[in-house]
Amino acid sequence: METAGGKDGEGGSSGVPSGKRDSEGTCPMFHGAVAYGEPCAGAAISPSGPGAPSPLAAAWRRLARNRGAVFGMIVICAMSLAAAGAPVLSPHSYWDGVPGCERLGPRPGFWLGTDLLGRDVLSRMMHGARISLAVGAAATVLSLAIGLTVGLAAGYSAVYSRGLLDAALMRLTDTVYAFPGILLAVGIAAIAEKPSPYIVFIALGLSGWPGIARVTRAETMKIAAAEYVLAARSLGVPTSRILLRHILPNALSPVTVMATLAIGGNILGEAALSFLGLGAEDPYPSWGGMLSEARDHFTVYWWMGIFPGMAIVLTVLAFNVVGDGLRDALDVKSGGASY
Amino acid sequence: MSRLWFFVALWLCMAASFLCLGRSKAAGTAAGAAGLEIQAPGPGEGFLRVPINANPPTLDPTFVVTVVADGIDRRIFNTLVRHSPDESGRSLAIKPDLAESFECSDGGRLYTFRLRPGVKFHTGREVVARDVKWSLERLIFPDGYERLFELDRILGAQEFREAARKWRASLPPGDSVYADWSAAGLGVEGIRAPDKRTVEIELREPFAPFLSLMALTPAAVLPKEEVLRRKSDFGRFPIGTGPFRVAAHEPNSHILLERFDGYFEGPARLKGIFYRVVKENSVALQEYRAGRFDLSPVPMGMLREIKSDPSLSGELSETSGLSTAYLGFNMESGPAAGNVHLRRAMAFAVDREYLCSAILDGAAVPAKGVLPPGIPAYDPELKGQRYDPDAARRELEAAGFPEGKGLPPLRLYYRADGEGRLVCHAIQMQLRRAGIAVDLRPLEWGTFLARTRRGECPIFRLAWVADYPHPHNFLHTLFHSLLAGETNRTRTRDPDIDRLADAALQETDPAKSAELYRAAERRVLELAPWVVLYHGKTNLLIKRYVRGIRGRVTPLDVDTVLPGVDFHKVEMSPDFACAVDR
Repeated sequence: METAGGKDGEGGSSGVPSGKRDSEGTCPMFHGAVAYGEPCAGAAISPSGPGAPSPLAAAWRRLARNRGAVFGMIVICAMSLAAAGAPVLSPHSYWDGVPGCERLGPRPGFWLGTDLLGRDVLSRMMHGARISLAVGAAATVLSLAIGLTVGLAAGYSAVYSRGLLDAALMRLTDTVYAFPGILLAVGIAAIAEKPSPYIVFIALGLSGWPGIARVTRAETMKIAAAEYVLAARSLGVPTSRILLRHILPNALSPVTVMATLAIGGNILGEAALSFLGLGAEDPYPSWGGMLSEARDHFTVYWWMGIFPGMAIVLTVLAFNVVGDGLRDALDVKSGGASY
Repeated sequence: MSRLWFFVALWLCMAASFLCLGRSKAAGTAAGAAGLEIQAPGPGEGFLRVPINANPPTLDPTFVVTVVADGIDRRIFNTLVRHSPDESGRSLAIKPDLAESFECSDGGRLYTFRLRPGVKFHTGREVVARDVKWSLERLIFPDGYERLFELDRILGAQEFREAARKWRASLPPGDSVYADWSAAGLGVEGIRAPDKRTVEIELREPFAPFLSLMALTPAAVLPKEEVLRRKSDFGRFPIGTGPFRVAAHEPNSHILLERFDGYFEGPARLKGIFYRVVKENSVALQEYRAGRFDLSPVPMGMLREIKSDPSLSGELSETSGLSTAYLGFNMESGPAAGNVHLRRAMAFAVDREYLCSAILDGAAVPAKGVLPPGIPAYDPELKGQRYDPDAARRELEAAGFPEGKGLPPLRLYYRADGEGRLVCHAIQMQLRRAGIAVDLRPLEWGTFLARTRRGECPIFRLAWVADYPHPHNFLHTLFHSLLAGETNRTRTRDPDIDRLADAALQETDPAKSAELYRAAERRVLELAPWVVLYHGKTNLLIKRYVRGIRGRVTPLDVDTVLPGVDFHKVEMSPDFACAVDR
């Protein structure tokens, strides 16, 4: 109880808590709706009397009880630290090999071995983490921006106008959804004449939004029919304000789960594109690129491929378990009791 | 919690199976391959089983563009002359093939070939001189094989192409290359068939590499009536004079050649050759180990492991690949254009031994000069370019950048995928140690080629593979000022190189011609429009029971299809069974 507020603040990076606090503070209708037991997902049904833990604090506690999610969060934090501190923390240069130290297996000094040019695999992986995490996160933000916009507009128009906009946007979404994501990303990346992480982030971002748009649309339609939204409309609150202040915050929790899972997917996508030579700019390393370089020597110099591969698996797994944990923690009906 | 453990266990299982796969000798028995397995000849049936990495788009020799098609066509067709290893076994020399004798007269302008008697096409018809004339004209015909543009040096070739173009325009659109121009009275003036067994070819001016061109697969002799009758189907089931003919051809799957018993040198000892498409070299190697192929390429980076494996090291065959990898400078613009000392400094700063051993794993030999081993004028004694950090420092000082001070980072362009990438990473490291900063600029292959051709890349890494084994194809094609901006991508314009390359072309004495090419090569190295890097090698695994290939692989053989090897004499040894059991 005592730390709930503080922890809330810390957890604010996901964007959920602040949004929700805002909505609680600014929209009295919100509480009304909850009190009537309206099924508005995301608006956690909770005792909201003074002194009782906020819904977010409760969610956080459920999350903290989930050991898988805690493991995932620790992995993500560790990876982020390694990535952020790579220029300072990495024991060797990522581009310059140590003469005479080519193809060394893991040993003190080169904890994960060296590659064909005598470059330290650990140092390259730490630098590679920058690309993987940054591209994974940035692509997800881009997907979120597109997906949320499309989903909100489509869902709201489906409820309150004749739904032409909804039909148009959803057919567009279906079209993009019909393409295999990685194929679309390869296509976008191939248009650029030289590999670059910016291209990869745009390619993944542009191919990853349809899922988010669909979920957002479904949530929006559900919330838009809620009485507090009706009330806001009847009071003449501008549509943009209704969308941003009343609907978006309440639609965020399933989207948060999706976004967390999408980061993992985008890291995997970045690795795949780098593996195909469309990723990081030479000689900057990326996990997928390291895997690709190691492919021809896998049976002999296994460390060149195993460790970047493990990093990809571990990070994607971490994002997945955190996403699962978030789903359980935010879903009131299951009570987060599955663990 | 249990879910987490499940994930961890699953992951470990995957990692373990991945590792096992790499080691397993029985890998590759996937269900997908089973369908092919039924049709494939088994071991001991007298068929040589060869992996190919891609399906040739056509086997019509006039339009051959891939090494694989070239090699397969070598079994089906013959040319007037062929490249065979000379006495030393290291370089190639011109030997008779369909022509039993040939001579050059009129100061190098007239070539007379005397055809072997009694040579038959697979259809049973005898080869006559008119077939040779028609086949060569087909190469010059407007849609013919453009890599043999040198055939324009034949008297009347350009006039024929112009006339043929006009004549073709009057035809209904469609398969014009399958129309018969000779019936329309068209022909190349300089290619003559005075009688059934004599072919005369007259050139506008002497051209030393001419016989080398006549030995290339596109110059194969074709039966006109079959080409015209089968049209594009000729590309799938071609008819030639060679020791084998096509029995089955399934695109993207396999090509089965069977022995032609009427071959003019006597029937081949093999019953046939079975080519099966396997896209990844590493998969081909696994299947080779499992006994499903008799030949295998050596995947990039596997050489070291194979050499340390006692059962495989004895099956390894290594040969020069007739190629030279290099860093090219744009000689017209850019920081290196007007600064020969900077170019030489870079040539001294690159450690070629390191590139070959560290990255290429012994699949290449360090280069000293432009010509790769196996090319007739190759000079094993050449001093050429070499790694010398002290000399690099001196040259850099002479260039006006002592220890690299004041030198802006140089932009090095290269193909983003492929073996050159790591090589460029290593070159960046090595040049940085010499004080020369390099920015890496990987490009997509098509973009890269277009931009080097337009002269937009100040420094680029490329490799040149000989179109035909003759020094002309290096020292003229890559450095003559006439070709600046075309095949001369560095846009080198040097009167000395031009003069030496032109003089070599006119020289009919091979020894004197070789001396001129060597002088041109030394001039190139002095001018340093290239930093030569390495010459590629062909590494192949050949089963011990296959006789007649090992030791006969020539510098022409860059793939498992071995265009330079005479398969007519290849056989399976009788101790085959025990060899398989091993």
